[in-house]
Formats: sequence, C-alpha cells, structure tokens
Amino acid sequence: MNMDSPTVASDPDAWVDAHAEALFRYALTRLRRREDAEDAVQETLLAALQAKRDFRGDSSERTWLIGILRHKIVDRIRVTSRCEASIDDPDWNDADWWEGNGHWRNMPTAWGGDPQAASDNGEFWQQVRKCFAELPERQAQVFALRNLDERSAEDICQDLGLTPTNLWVLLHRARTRLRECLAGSWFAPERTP
Amino acid sequence: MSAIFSCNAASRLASEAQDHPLSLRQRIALRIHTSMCSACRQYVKQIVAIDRLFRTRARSGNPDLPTSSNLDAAAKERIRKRLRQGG
Repeated sequence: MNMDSPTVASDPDAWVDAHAEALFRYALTRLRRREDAEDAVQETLLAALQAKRDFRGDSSERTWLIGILRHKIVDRIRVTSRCEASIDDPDWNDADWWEGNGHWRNMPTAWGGDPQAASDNGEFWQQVRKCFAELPERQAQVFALRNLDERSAEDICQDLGLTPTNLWVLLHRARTRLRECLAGSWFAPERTP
Repeated sequence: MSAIFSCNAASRLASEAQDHPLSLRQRIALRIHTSMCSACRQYVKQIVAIDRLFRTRARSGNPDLPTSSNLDAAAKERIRKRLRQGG
C-alpha cells in the first residue's frame, strides 16, 4: 500500500509539511549553502505543482520529488561551474600527501573499528558530515553524485561538462581527503575499545 | 621504481577503479603495487569502505548527511506562500 497517496499533492501546504524538510536535507548535503538549498526546494515544489499531472504514482511522491530536485541541483552546479576552472583547488598540493618519490607522507594504517558497525551509528555520520564539509565544493558535489546518487561517471561528466580525467582527479582527491579525515577521527586506532 | 609504482599513482588507480574499468596493464600495476605496499592496501580497502558506507546509507532511505541546520519556520512559510501564488 502506498502511503504517499497523490491526493496529498493537491494541497501545497501539506506538501511542504510532508516533504520540505527531507528535500532541504538532500539539497543542503549537495549544495551546502542554505540559501541555495532553500531556493532549490522551492523551485522543486513549484515545478512539481505545475507538473502534478505527470506524477504517475508508480513511485512514491517523495521519490518523484527527489528526482525533480536532483535535476535542479545539477542545473545549479552546472551554472556555478561554468564560472570557475572545473577542478580548481588551490588547497590541493600533491606534495602535501606524497614525497617526491611518490611515497605516502602519512601512511595509511589499519583502522581501529569496523566500518560496517559504524554505518548504523548516528555519531559516526555526524563525524562524516564534518569531514564532508571540509571538502572543497566541487569535490563534495561529485562525490555525492557518485556515491549518494550512484550516478555513473559518464552521466556526471555529461551533466557537469567535465572530462573523465577531471572527474577522476576530483573523486580521487575527495576520497583521499575523506579517508584521511575519518582515519584521524572516527577510525583512529586509539578509539578502539 | 617507475612512476606507475609510486603510492601516488597507485592511489589514483585505486580510486579510478571505483569509477571505470581499468585496463589490464593498470590492473596488473595496481595488483603488483598493493602486493608490496601495506599502506596502499589499507588505502584501497578504506576508500572502498567509505564509498560503500555512503551508498548503503543512501539506499536505505537516507540520501543525505545529517545537517547542521534545519529548514526553519520562516523559510517554510516563504515556500508555502510562493506555492500558493504559483500553483
């Protein structure tokens, strides 16, 4: 039985109550500035209201709205990325991570703690949020598209006008930074019980 | 050692392997490197685990991270107003 009955859609107020929070969290994770996230939520609900007839009820209302929101977010990312060099990251310097001979400056070591066990832990995700917030904007955006939305690399390149090589560089930096941040916090060996 | 066997290059390949199929040559280079380098073995294992954690979270109905701020009442009211106008 589908709890998200399309009848809810006839009442915009109820829509805001039912979905605005979740849409906002989704948008804020990806856009990071609250004004941008609010705008994206508003645009999404407005577009949904105008396209209500297209809602076929074969997915939940939430899924349908998230689908619209995802497009609005990609549009925003694309517009902002036109104005900047696509992989511009003044803070990234290979020499901060690897010696001249390519060896790690700070060698990855075994984690204290099991990632599987962390996945249900709210405190763990608070730590992830902090590490994610430290990523440069473009890296965070492509990482979210890749691993939260599970978009293919080809799709992301097409949507954002990136070359595959640029995308791979961005994802490599994002992963390297997230790993370093989590290794030094949640998964630091001294935290192991 | 040639550049392809540096940890820097190995970490790039390990990350790229999450996004596109590597060539046979790349797979072999990465395999040889990680067989000799415990730091890169950890790196590979951990970035794969991080990707998987995000995917698992999104698939289980949380396609977002916890947020530091919520949509406040004023913002909700703005959106409601706008929807009433523009329906």
